[in-house]
Amino acid sequence: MVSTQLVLIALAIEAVALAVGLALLAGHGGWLAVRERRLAPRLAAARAAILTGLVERPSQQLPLAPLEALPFDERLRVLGEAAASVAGAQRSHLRGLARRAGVLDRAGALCRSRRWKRRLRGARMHTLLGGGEAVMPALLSDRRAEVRVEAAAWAAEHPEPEIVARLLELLGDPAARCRFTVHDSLMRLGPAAVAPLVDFLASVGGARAAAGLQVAASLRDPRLLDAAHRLLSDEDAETRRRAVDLLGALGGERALAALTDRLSDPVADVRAAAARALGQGQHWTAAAQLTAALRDRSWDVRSAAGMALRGLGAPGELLLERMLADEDRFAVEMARLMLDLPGAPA
Amino acid sequence: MIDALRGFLVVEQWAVLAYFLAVNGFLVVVLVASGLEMRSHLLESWYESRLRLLSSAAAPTITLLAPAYNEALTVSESLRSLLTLRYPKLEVVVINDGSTDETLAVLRRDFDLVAVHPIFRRSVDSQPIRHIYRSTTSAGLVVVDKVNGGKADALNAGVNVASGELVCAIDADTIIQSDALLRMVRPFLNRDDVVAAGGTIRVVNGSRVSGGRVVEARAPRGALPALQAVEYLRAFLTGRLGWNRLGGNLIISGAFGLFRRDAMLAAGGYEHDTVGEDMELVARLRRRAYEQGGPGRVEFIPDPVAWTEVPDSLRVLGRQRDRWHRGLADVMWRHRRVLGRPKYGSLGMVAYPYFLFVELLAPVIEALGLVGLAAGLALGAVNWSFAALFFAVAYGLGIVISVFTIALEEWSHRAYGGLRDRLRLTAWSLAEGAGYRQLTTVWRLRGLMRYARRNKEWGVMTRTGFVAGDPVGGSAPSAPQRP
Repeated sequence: MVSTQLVLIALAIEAVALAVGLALLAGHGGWLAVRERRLAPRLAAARAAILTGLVERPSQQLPLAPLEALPFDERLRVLGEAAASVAGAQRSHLRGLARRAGVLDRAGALCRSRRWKRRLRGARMHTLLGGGEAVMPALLSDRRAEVRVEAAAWAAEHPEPEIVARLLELLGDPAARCRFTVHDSLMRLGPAAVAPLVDFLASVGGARAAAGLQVAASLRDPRLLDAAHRLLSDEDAETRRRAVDLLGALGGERALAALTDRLSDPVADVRAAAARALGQGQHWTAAAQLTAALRDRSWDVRSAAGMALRGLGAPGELLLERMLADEDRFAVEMARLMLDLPGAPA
Repeated sequence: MIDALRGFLVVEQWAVLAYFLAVNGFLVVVLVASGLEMRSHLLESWYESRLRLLSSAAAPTITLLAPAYNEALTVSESLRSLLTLRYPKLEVVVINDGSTDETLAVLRRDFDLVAVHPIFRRSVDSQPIRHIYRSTTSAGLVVVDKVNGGKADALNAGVNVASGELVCAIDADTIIQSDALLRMVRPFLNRDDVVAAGGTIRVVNGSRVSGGRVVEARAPRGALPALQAVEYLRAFLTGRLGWNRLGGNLIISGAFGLFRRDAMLAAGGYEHDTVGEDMELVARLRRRAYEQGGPGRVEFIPDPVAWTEVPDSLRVLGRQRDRWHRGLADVMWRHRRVLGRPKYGSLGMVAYPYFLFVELLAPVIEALGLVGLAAGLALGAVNWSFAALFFAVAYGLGIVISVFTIALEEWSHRAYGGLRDRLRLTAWSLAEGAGYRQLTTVWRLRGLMRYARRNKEWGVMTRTGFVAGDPVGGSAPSAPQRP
């Protein structure tokens, strides 16, 4: 049977663990409450000083003393709260205060750390408050994806060509979050990203080109037209699809022949994208090819072709009505669906 | 004969004790994994700007699927709350699942609906859709009116109509934090192989709710909701968070879960013929990833993303737990082939065995242990020292894990009011082993027995409802969630 000693040992272990848990819980909670109460007046004073300075005295330097009265973490908290709501001159003003308060220096030092968690903190402080031109570009090539992501976010406010070029290289980053942030930053950079993007698309193919084309489709700049045409014949189906999307977004007569040609692409996604793009550009001269696409073996292609025809108005609807007598039952079904849409002729 | 029985009881008690030691030991490992995961999460989200994602044109579109059945009284308010969620590309699809009350008429009136005929592919089976409506006043709102088929069927119809890359299944009476989608989308942005993600769901009883939002979060005051609040914390913060590091989750709460739509369609959508459709879908997504390749990761984020009302009567709570356990049993049975097969990686070797031996069979073993202990004491086969050891291992370690979970909450999100609220929950966690846990064992055993008799009823749950400005806690009908 069980000895009393074994029971006592088990209970003692549990009692110690329980005491540690309770001490952690109460200790942390109590410490936070005391700290919050002690810092509350100083936090309020710092917030008020920044707000007053930014709104009422924009030409003067923001006062440093209220911020210096706070521990470093709280300085960052107050600056971060303000930074989330300001832009332009007010943001520069706030950045000046952060520099004088030593926050940007600390961020710069953290960015140079050998420990990635510190580099991440430093990078995030620079994204939040600005600055960091001397240290952040190097972090775009950091070995840790988390740090590269933050550097890419920072780059959205830095349209220098070499930074944009580095961002474009990161479109093929192995980390999903990095690719997303780069994509987002390039879209935020807008026109500043177009020229480097044209150069980039001229030199790459495959998946990297597809990522570039995705950005290009949201920038919709005519300078990207040549790249779209060139990549329409890429070996990678995703790249061809993105090139079709870009052509659809850019429109123009030159796109017509290329898009019509893509209606016979071996990959259904590309054919569907081409049908959509032709509909988007209202290319009525492609109506015959779109009608033929109603017989496509892919539902996506048939529905995109049907929608495109319907978007052409009366001529498209006439063609859809004719398709009701077609011998391909899938084409007939899709034509019927399109003609049944609200607003279509009875 | 008596001697043989005594001998058997001694062996049985040692076996049960060994089981509890192994289970609690594993739970300690999960707790440590949760702590590590929480530390990474806090670092990752330190001063991270969610405003950036809010203004991003590159963000994936999310479709919220909200099934509604006879919810004429509350549907408009719930929907307004959903439409104000902070996310840049949001579509809300309400599925009126053949309501017999005025649900559809209320929606048509309040949101100025017009019938449309969009072309969509019927990729997964559902009852016929009668009409699809779009709102002329709220961009992104789609209402699907269909023949009644139950929650899973309604969600399948919604998935067919949805246009988002990600779909989010919610229950109509779940209160969602305004920035929940900005938080929940993070795992999908971080990794290409994530197919589903869930977040922490808290107990809303005792909190103040206004305009479809929790305006003052407090720990529940009543014993039953407070004990469930501790359970929810333990299930989410320690359980699911730790599983991120131990081979991935098997449960995403039906109250609020985000899924990749293409993966969901490829897997065939929600299973109709089960009471645990949310867990079944997650298990199928993971299993399919091992069998056919492709993405199959299920992630959990510790951020508090949604609030749900828990039962405040033993009768309703018993029905809920009974149903949950039937759902679990059904999923375990459907996917029994993955058990112990290396082909299924961590699903077959870690997650499935855990859910089978710890989650599903625990009430059986606990009941055997308690009955055996009583018999052993009566027959003199076991002594009081053994009984003390049994309780220390079976319940004492559980209390320690609960206290550390609340400490983890204190260290991280502190979602429930102040320190006093967390200390109140701690006090309840100390009392959990004195009756409540044994009751849940009985309910879960009942669920297993009913599953064996193939009972697939949902049961009716009574809720208080959310009266603006008042703390939640009192009675109106609606549907239960698994934590």
